[in-house]
Amino acid sequence: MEIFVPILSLSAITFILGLAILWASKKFHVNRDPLIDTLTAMLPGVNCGACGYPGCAQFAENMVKKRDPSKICPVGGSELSYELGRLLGIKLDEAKPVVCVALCNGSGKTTKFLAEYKGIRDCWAAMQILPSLKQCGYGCVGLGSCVSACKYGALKIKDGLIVVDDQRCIGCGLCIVKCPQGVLKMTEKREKKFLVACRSEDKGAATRKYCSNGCIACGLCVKACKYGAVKVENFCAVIDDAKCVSCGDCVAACRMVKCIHLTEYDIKPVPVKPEEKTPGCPSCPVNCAGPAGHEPGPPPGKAG
Amino acid sequence: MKTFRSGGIHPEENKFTSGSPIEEMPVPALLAVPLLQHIGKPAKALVAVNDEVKKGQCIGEADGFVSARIHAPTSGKVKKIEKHPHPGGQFAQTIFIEPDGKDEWLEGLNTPEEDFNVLPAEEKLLRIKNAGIVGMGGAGFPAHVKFSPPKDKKIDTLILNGAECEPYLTADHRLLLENTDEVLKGLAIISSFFKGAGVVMGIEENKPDAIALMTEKAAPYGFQVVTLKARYPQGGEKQLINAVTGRSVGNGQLPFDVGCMVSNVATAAAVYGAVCRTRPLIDRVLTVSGNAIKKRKNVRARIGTMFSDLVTHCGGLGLKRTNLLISGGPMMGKAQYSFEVPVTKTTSGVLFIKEDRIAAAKERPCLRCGRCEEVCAAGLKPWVLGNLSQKGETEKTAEYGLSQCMECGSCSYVCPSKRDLVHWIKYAKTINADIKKRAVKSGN
Repeated sequence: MEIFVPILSLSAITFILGLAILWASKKFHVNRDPLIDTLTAMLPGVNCGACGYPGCAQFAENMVKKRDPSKICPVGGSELSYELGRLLGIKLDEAKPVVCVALCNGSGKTTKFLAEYKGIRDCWAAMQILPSLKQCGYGCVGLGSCVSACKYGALKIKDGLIVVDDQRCIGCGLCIVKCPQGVLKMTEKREKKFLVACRSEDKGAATRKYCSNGCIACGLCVKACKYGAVKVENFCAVIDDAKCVSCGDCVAACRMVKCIHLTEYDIKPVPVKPEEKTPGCPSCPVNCAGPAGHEPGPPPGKAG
Repeated sequence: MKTFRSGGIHPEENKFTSGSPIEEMPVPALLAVPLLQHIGKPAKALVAVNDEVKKGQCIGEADGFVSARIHAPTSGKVKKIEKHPHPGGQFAQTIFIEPDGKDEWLEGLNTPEEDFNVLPAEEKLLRIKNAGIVGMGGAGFPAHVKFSPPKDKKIDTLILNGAECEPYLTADHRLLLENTDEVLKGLAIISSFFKGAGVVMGIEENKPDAIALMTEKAAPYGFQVVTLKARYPQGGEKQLINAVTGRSVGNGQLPFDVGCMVSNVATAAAVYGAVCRTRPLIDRVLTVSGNAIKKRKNVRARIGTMFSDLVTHCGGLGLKRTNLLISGGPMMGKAQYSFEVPVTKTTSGVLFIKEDRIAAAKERPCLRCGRCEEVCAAGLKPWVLGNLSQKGETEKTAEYGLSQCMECGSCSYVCPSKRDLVHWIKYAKTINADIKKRAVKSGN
């Protein structure tokens, strides 16, 4: 009979505690929008922070709460923006896919090294005693502070020069701030991307002395461009993406140093989907049975 | 014998040149005068290419409150103005002057000696400002700003920094011996800015001749000479104040907060030149030493003399390859990558070091032995700072007193694991400054 004493007492305690939990779950229930979870699941989930929020979940939460059309996920691109906009019932600004490019092509072969550097293997540390490992004071330092910042292995140092792997770069932009020289830049991803891979502001003759791949501001590309997209600013050519039609005339004209580069990116065509009419409710992700056309978000009455 | 309270090391002195008199170096074929030779904003160029300049002519105007004038070191023609290697590591805007060989002073400069006692204080400060005088010990803080501290701060002790605790360097030692009167008069001028301030000269024991001479010559001025125990980094401002007066300068405090003012030997001599002789700062005494150079010397070189000219003047380099070229002393100086780097107002020495004197070893992990903590004169934990910075957690270093580190290098010197502690600390400072800059930018 003694065995029933602990059984009964423990059962009673369990029951009471169970009731307490039940009460607490009702009392402290947090109304969470199911849309947040749906959005989070749709986002790339890499928590890169390129949108300005710490991670994808926070981005989704803020999207649902604030519905700010100017906040976009640059990694997801247009397709994702379209889908997110549809779920939220707003039109998001168009998210053009971006990619990281290096504005330097002075590798160890084309430019000379200044001195033998034996200190800490980091660009910022080296720049305390050298303008760069190479003779150019504008280009890639070549010790790879940015490499460790990239979570996707898209950056590597090859022959003292940063090389971006187009296949791996997702365009999060985390590497940009790690470069002390400002060599890395985010640009719009196009099928055919033309880029002046140099940012030397020295005069042509001076640039020529230390780098055989540096832009010498000869202006041949400016003349060749029929669309006025190429300009020479501070002794360095710049291509205006808004005017560039990717014809390739500038590359053909860039004979002297070959500082203009063509990169071809594999881009999915931007989805142009017809306005789908979901049966029932068009406003929320789940085909709820609520009244059609209710305020975007979870159907009324069903919240919680 | 007096010395500072905590930390410190005593590296090999290697003061080979303490017996060699200062040699006047001839004006080289081309002078490169950087517009940035001080802390603060670079000066603005006042001359254009092909302009004729006279010796002592102002060629760079101070741009802002904390900035200093730059003067032509000799007469000649401006050849070009462009970016050029600078001892600070980066390129800096530099005026190249091709000397005409006449070495003519601009009219009204290099006047016969005047009695400074009759001049009003404002006039003296103005002359110091116009002469472009900066702290010549290494920091390069504009002197006229330093000598006019806030009104509510009372300066009761003026200290002459004759410690010269860096190994190899003997420039200040030679100045004390050879230009004794100039140094003393300069010191008298500086002390006249602070009514009732006592003057103390702190000189390390390894310069007995300078101590004897100064004790004798300073007596009529009423200056006191204090012999200090040879210890590095005694020449640091806070350490010197602590050694001489026993006061300690707290975190975030400046010397005038404890009623002190420290002046370098070379600065005192330059102040005399500026006030009594209206001579702008166009040359300085520096030590050319190290085991790779053939003739080790103390030279008086014009500002803008390139290191390659110093090498030629000192008989060339002993071997085919010099492994390390340092501007400044071996502890706090900066390694240079080019022989085209010019002498600036703050270059106290140029060292050429062979490979066998470089403790080149691979950096190993921290043992947590605590030796760096023992020698840190600022009372920090260098190993914590180094480890945090290596892990990329530079923002946390602030709570371990990153900003109080004066980068004297004692911790790196004693580290058995050969860790580049000072470099990691400098790295953390740079990264933190960048983070701050970006925060300000995005905040606007």
